[in-house]
Amino acid sequence: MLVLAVAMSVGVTVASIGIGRTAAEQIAGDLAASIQDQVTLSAATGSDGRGGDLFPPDAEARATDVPLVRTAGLRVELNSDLAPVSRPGILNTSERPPGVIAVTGGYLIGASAQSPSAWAFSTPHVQPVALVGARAAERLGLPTTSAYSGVTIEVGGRELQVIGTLPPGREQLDELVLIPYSIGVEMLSSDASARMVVTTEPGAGARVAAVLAAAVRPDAPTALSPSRVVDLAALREGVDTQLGRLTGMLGIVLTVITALLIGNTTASSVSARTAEIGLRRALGASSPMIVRLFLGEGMIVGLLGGLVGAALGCWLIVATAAGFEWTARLSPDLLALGITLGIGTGIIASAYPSSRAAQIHPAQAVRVE
Amino acid sequence: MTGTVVAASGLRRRYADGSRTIDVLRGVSIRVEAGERVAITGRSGAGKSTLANILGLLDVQDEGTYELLGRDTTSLRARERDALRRDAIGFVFQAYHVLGNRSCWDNVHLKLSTARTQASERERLIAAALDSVGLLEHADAPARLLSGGEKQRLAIARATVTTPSLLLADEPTGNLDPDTAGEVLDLLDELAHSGIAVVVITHDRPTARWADRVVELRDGQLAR
Repeated sequence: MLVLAVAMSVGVTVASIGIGRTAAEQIAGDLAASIQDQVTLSAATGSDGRGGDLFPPDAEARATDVPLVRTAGLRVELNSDLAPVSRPGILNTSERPPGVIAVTGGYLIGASAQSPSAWAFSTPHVQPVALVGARAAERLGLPTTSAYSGVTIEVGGRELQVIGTLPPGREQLDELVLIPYSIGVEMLSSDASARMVVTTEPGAGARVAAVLAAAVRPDAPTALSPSRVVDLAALREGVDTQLGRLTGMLGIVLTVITALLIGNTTASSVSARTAEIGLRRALGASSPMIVRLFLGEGMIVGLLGGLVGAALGCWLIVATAAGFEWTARLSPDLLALGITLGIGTGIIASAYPSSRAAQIHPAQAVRVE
Repeated sequence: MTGTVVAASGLRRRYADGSRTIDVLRGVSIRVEAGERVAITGRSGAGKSTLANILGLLDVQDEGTYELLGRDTTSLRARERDALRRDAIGFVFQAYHVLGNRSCWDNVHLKLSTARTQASERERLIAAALDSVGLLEHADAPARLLSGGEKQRLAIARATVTTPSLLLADEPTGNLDPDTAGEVLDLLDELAHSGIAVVVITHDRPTARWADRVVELRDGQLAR
């Protein structure tokens, strides 16, 4: 029963730690997959771009040459004072006109937005055109159709032909009017506030971010600053640490309960075996031998419980991972942890009863009741 | 085996009982030769068990000297006392103190488990000890299945497996009927004839008469 109790305790401890690790791995992996494939590059704080343009004309090509980069595009925001949006000849009834951003074709491809129209947004094919987000189209009173002919809007006093609307559901672009990047920079007279948005292979964000500025601006890499990309390892460690604390606390509580259980049982065993202890002493066993006897018994109980518990814990980890459709994360250190925990608990819990056993006076122990 | 096994002189032992001190032994001197049968008698509280514990190195006197096989036991360290007790002394208790769930073989092995004896030698010694008390055929039987007399014989086998120089038997016949008690005394006789000094603590007059010499304790002192 004692072995079973230790096994249950060690098993749950091992399982909680293992499940925590598996969950951390899964969560970190999921997060990484969702956020680690995008890096943005913008002017570094305090940088003036060394007097010229922030991004060179071939910035996109330079960025896409970086390994693991899928797409690269530029965008710059234009405020409504500089670039008010309206439809010529139509009264604007919207209280709040849509915002405007100027983007390159690479940006549209990266955002999977109207890729067929991307050519019209990139040099040398730049055309006076605009793409309109779904909600922006509503505000401007544009029909919800993808086939526009002869529909124009004015942005910053410049007439642009609407060549399509963006499909709904793109929250970041829904309320915007997208115009070609070069036209936007022309309106702003500078690209100092522009940003490069780069999509990468999944999980490669951190690695790309480390080299992107130098690749785009080898002449002045410090002029550009990549967005703060959470390192995958750090992310995993962070999640692991948080879950580890939680499961560790559970493990400590269970281990203390088990230690008390073993200690109580060993103490009862010492009381019940007083005559035997006295007999062993009378037969020549020294006090250290008596201590070793009970410590050894505690250790054996701990070892057996640890072995069974480690196996039980691993099974629980696999079963839980299977239930959540996760990839179970098992490692040899879990087995070592279970055994060590079992043995350690057995020894620590037996220490006090063992010392009590060694202090039993043999002459009194073997006296006739 | 010949010569003096036990040579104790002026043994004093006192115990604290709350605020008062009880003198259990008050200057007891005793000498036991190899092969001698000595009975220590006396009423309850006379100090018989205390004397036996000191002679058996289970307790230490407050005053006086005790030499076992010529070695001054007073100056021994705990580990040396344990080793000397294991090698030179055998104990037989009134309550047998055999481990009921263990086999007869294991019970005898218990005495050898703390000694550095080779495995093959251990087996020979255990078999010989069990054979000497007529229990070899019950070697594998759990001790709880034995009768009272058999348990005491098993205890004697355990006590003598290391061929001690001194056998201390505390009321060895106290729980036995007269016939079985006679058998146990016969076994002790054989041990004495082999040269072992046999010291028996007893209330029992027939057992006392069996001894070569009777030492009576009265209020912690020798009465005769």
